[in-house]
Amino acid sequence: MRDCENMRELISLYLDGELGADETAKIEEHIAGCEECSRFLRSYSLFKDSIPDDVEPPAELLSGVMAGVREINAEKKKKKRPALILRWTAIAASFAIVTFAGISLMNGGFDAGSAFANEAALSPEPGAAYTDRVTDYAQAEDAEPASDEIPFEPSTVPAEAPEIFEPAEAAIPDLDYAGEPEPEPVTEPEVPPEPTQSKAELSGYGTKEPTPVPEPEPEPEPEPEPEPEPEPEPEPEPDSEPEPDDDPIPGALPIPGDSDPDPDPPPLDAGTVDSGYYYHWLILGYYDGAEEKTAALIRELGGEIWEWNPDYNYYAVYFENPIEEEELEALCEELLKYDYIWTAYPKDEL
Amino acid sequence: MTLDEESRLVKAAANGSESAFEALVTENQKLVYNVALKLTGNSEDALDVSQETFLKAYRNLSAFRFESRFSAWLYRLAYNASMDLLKKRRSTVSLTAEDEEGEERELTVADAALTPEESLEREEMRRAVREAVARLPEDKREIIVMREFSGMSYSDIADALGIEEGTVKSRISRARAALAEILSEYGTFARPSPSNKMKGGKRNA
Repeated sequence: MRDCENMRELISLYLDGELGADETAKIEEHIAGCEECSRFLRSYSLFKDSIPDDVEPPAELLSGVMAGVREINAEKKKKKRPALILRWTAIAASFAIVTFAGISLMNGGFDAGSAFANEAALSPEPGAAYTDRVTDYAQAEDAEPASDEIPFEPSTVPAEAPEIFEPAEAAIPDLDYAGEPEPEPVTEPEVPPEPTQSKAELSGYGTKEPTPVPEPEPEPEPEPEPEPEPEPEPEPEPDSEPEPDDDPIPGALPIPGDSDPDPDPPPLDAGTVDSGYYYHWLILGYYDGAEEKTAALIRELGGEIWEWNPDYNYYAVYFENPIEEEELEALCEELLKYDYIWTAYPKDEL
Repeated sequence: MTLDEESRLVKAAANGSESAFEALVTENQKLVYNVALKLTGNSEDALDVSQETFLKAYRNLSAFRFESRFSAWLYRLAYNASMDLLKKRRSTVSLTAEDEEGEERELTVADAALTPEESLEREEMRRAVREAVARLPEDKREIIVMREFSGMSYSDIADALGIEEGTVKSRISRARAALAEILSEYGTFARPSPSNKMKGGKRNA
């Protein structure tokens, strides 16, 4: 593989059909004679073949999104003018009361007498009972947020009373009483900035998520935003481990020779038994963002980091003390149980 | 859609025009859905991720700075949301062979022509590919997904990532090498090997 490293980029361009006729011929000639490169090409073709073709998205995608958009807009409107809504409620209620009483009086369908009696009890002028009542309600609403609570004697309201208010409310434009929109099913981590801003983090290792956009509300990473609606955590995160975003900069990660506290590192030039140490090698592959955790785990197990390869996300680990073969295998099995470790295996030699 | 049209629609949508946003969704839904589908491997997750992506974009329209294409921004949101989902899944589900059998198979029309064994093999391969890609370091993973999964051209990738085209080429090449190393876990190659040759041995007397 090392001999073909300078070929690597050409082969990559060849895969993308980006080479001219001459270069293509050159590469094909090389591949024909090179075992490693042919193998690479074969495997890479397998990989590409197994990527499914693009499909048309289902209709629910658009309809679901637009439904969500409408909910968001409704929520925005509701939040914007709560006082106005309540005032409308009060007035609507007042109208309803008047209408209801009016209709009932006309139809003689309920005990007008008791209603009148109660109104009269509250207002000294029976004739002006309704008008005063309406005005009183409107004014009362200014003082307290009564939403759909009507300061009305319960005994004078027949069971149907609540229904009357609904049509009145519905008739008022610009209100949406469709009920609480569903709490957002998604957590709200920060929005990634424009791709141009992400240049910095792409050039280095270890920085996983883009930095938060300064404009919107300051959002703690990566917890969900404190939504006004009570919203339970979507998933019970067993979050004893920090998210990738919290990982420190790559410079803080253990690199052989950099942060090695051991004043006497194993002799690098030794490749033989005379090195003076027991070497048992382990290859530990980890998922992005788990460098720290994996390094900590290694130290916990009494291992030392020999090599860190961020290209493939793995550590080569050695142990100074003798370990039996079976013990090493068992150790690997244990390691694989961690969800951030994707491979762990002993190696006789590196 | 031209850049101008796109900008106009984004501004209109940011000002509250639902129909402008609908036009943006229609224009970009195939791109968003397919990257989500290829990363998560099933249509249910892809639908969730896609809807989440568009709604998040809608909520944050005012934060969009027009420094790149809106579609590139959406792509990034979809990519991140897919990776977040994969990470959650990984924490809660152990990927053993038995679990995989219970998973939904994403059968395409082409799959229907395969025998059950071939179809299973293909699904296994697809899962292996998704896993391998998920194991790449972030910078390599993103570019592989853009190139191999979403078929973006070098210049589109350069635009989307804000880098030179030459950098795209070298980065893709390194990413492919890394991917090959990881794919070797599935038996295609030799395993990843650290660079220095060191032999295990006993302590000298």
